[in-house]
Amino acid sequence: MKEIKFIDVSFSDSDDVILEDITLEIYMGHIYTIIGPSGAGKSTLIKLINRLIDPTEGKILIDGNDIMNYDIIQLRRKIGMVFQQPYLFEGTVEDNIKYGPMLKGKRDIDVEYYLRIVGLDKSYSKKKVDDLSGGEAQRISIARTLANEPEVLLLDEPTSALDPASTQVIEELVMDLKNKLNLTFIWITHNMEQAKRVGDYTIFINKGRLVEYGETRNFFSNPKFDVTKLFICWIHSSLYF
Amino acid sequence: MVIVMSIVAGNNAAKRGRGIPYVFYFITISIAFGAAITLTALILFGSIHFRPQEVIPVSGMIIGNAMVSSGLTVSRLKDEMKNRRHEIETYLSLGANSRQASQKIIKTAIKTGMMPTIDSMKTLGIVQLPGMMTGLILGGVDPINAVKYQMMVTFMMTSTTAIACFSVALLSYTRFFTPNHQLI
Repeated sequence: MKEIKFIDVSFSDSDDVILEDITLEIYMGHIYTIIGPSGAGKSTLIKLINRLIDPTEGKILIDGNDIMNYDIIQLRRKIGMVFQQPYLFEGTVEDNIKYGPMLKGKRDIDVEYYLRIVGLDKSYSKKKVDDLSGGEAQRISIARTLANEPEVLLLDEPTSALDPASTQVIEELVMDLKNKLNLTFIWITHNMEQAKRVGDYTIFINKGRLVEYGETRNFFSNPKFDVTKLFICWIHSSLYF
Repeated sequence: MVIVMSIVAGNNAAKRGRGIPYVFYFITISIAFGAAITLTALILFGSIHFRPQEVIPVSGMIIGNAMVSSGLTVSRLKDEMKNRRHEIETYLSLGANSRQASQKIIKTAIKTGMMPTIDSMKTLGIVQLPGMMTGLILGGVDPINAVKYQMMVTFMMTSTTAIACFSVALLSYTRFFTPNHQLI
C-alpha cells in the first residue's frame, strides 16, 4: 500500500451530515494526527478507512483502486484499529493476541514477539486480561492488532483514558513502530501537545469539513486559516483557565 | 391448526423483538420449524398418533413454550447488540465477519431464551409437579407411566424450544449487519 485518497467523501446518518466533501491524501510511512472539536467527525473519518461504515458520497481509493473493490475482511486486517477504551476478550493475553491470526487459520504465532514489540515481558502471555492496568491493556490491544500484520493503524484517542506515564509509553511505542516496521498511523487526539510530539502531519476537522492539513511543524507555527488559528488559541487558553 | 397456532404465537413473541426487521417471520418460521421436527419425531416413534385429539394439545404445549423462549431470545439479542456495539466493532476491525463478531451475543441470547425451560427441567418432580403428570395420577394412571409421559412432554418441549431459539437467533442477528459485515 502506498497511499489512501479521499475524493469528495461525505457521510450522512439519517438526516445529519456528519462529514462533507472531504478530499485528502494519506501517504504511507507517516503519523497523521487528526484534531478537532468533539462531534467534528474525526472518528467517522477513520471508520470510513477500514469500512466499518461506507461513505454516502464520494470515493476512497487505495493505490488508485476504489476501496469498495477490496475484500472487506482482508482490508480490515491490513488496516487495523485501536479504540480509546480497549476491549480485550475474556481469557488470557495470549488468547487475545492469537485471535486475529486464528481467524485466518494460523495457529502457531509467536506471541512473545508481539509482546516484545509493545515492550512487555513474555510472562504477560498467560496473564488474565482482568489483571491488566489501563496502559497494559492498551498495549495488548496494539499487540493484538499488530498480530494481523497490518500496514496502517487507526488510533481513536488511544491515550485519552491513560495517565501521563502510560501515555508517554504509548507515544514512544507508536513512533518506534513507525520507524522499525514502517507502519502508518492515523491518530485522533484532543491533545495539541501530543499532536505536535508524534504527528508528522496534522489534519484539522471542524463541523464535518476538512479545514486544513499539512506538516505538523508548519500547521501549529503558521496555520493558514482563521478557524484553525481560533481553535489552536482556544485549546491553549482552555489549558490555562 | 398447527400453522394457525404458530402464526399467533409468532405474532405475540415478535413484540419482544420490535425494531428487528422481519422478526415476526423469523419467529414464526422458527417456532413452526421446531414444532414440526418435534411432532414428526413423536409420531414416527409412536409416542403420539397422528390424530387431532393428540396432535393439537401436544402442539399447543410445545408451541406455547417455544413462543416464550423465542421472545426472550430476540429481546436479549436486541439489547446485547445495542449495548455491546464497541465489542462487535472490535471483532469486526480484527477481521471477523458478522457471525464471528456476534457469536458470544448469539450464545447469550440463546441461553437466555432456554433458561426457563432448562430451569424447570432441573427441578421437575422435586419442585414442580406439572399438571399433566398430576392429572394422570389423579385419573388413576400408574404413577410410573404418568412420570414417563411427563418426561416425554418435558423433552419434547425442550427440543422445540432449543430448535426455535437457535433458529430465531441465527436468523435475527443478520438484521443487525449490512452484507458488508458492517454494524447497522
